[in-house]
Amino acid sequence: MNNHIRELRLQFNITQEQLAERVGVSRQSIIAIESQRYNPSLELAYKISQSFNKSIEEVFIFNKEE
Amino acid sequence: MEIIGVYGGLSLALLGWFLGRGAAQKNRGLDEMHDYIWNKARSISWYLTIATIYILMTLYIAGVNLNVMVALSILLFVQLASWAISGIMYGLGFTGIKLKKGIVIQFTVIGVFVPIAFIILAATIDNWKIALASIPPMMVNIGVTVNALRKAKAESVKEQ
Repeated sequence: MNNHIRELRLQFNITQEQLAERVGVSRQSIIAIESQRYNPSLELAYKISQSFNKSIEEVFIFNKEE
Repeated sequence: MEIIGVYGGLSLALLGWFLGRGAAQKNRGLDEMHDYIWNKARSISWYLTIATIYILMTLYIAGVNLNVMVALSILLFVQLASWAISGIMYGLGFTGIKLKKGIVIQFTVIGVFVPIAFIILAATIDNWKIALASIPPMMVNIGVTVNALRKAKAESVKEQ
């Protein structure tokens, strides 16, 4: 699953650590999600999207091929 | 002597587990990815434990003298070591931390072959206390690998 987290973080000027703190996960989890190595749960995807005031579809892009 | 080994090992493991969870909790480390990684690792460790049960059964049928304590110790070692190693490997894979190839080879070779060699030696001369001699090289191996992990983690933080 692709995502726009890195672009949004840079746009909102927040670090991985700050985003991790906002959504209540470790920085390692944010690194893994950002680099598309780990697909977050619906709940975490919602929290991440909410922290940027966006909907899930605006932050995460589902790839049918995966 | 055995009772010190069994309950001493259990106490140290519980202390390590408790301190480790405490340290992880400070960095919000006990999150959903942590649960995912360690559930996957547990699944792998059960496959390896089942394989070990079959190996031990085959050895017993082949006439190797295995007592209950030895068989259970081997199973416990395989279960816990494979759980820890696969959990660490999954964690590294998810976070993109790359260990140097030499360290991975050193950890795997010493971690797998040293205990097997000592167990075979102990079984051959029928003295299971010989297997305890594998503990010092294993501890050094773990120490060197943990140090390399810390360095790799620090380098990865610099890159991001």
